[in-house]
Amino acid sequence: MAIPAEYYLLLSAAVFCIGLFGVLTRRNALIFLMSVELMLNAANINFVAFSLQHGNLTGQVFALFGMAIAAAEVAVGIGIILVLYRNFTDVDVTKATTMRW
Amino acid sequence: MTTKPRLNTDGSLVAGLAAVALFAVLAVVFLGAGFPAPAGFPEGAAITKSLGAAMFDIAPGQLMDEGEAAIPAEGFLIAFLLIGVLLDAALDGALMLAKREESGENVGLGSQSDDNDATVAADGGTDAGGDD
Repeated sequence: MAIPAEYYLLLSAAVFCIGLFGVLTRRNALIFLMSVELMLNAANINFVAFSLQHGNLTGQVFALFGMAIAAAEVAVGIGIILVLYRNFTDVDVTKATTMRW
Repeated sequence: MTTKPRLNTDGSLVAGLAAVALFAVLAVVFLGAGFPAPAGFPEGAAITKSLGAAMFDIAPGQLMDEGEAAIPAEGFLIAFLLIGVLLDAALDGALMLAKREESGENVGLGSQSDDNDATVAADGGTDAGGDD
């Protein structure tokens, strides 16, 4: 008995909204990065769920590529946070306002 | 004094209400959508083998043993190569960001200008001894 697609979508929406909540409320750049990861992986849940829904493996392969994209994003993101810490001696995203104007 | 983890309450949680509202909207839409029963994969389907075949553009029939069914998918060889290039570019970008320079010279691990002494002291750092 397969689980209906609605529940996968609900799980995915919940994970995405937890990530969005983190982005909107937190100020630590590392937690920002983790929240963006949650949002990316919510998309992966949808890919895998609809792969099962349609009986086609394309979605699962695409989810693997999504993980690779997430890895690349984290590599660059941690580099940016490193530079942020060097320049501002803090990882608070509200303190780094030099490029705002 | 306890050291238990506490909820981080500095900063406003009001902005997070947008995320909760978004979840409510999404939940209403998803539960009202009405999906057909999932097609699923056939009995004895070789999912991992089919994944490998799809990723490298191999005809899945070549990989299957007896009693294993191939699952249809598209070919992703070009995408696979492009992702490889992307990961390479991300590695280069991370290294470029992490490199620390002071007056044009690298500072930090792997650089030889830490102590303004260009000679490598492989004998423990003593200047005496050797051939000189």
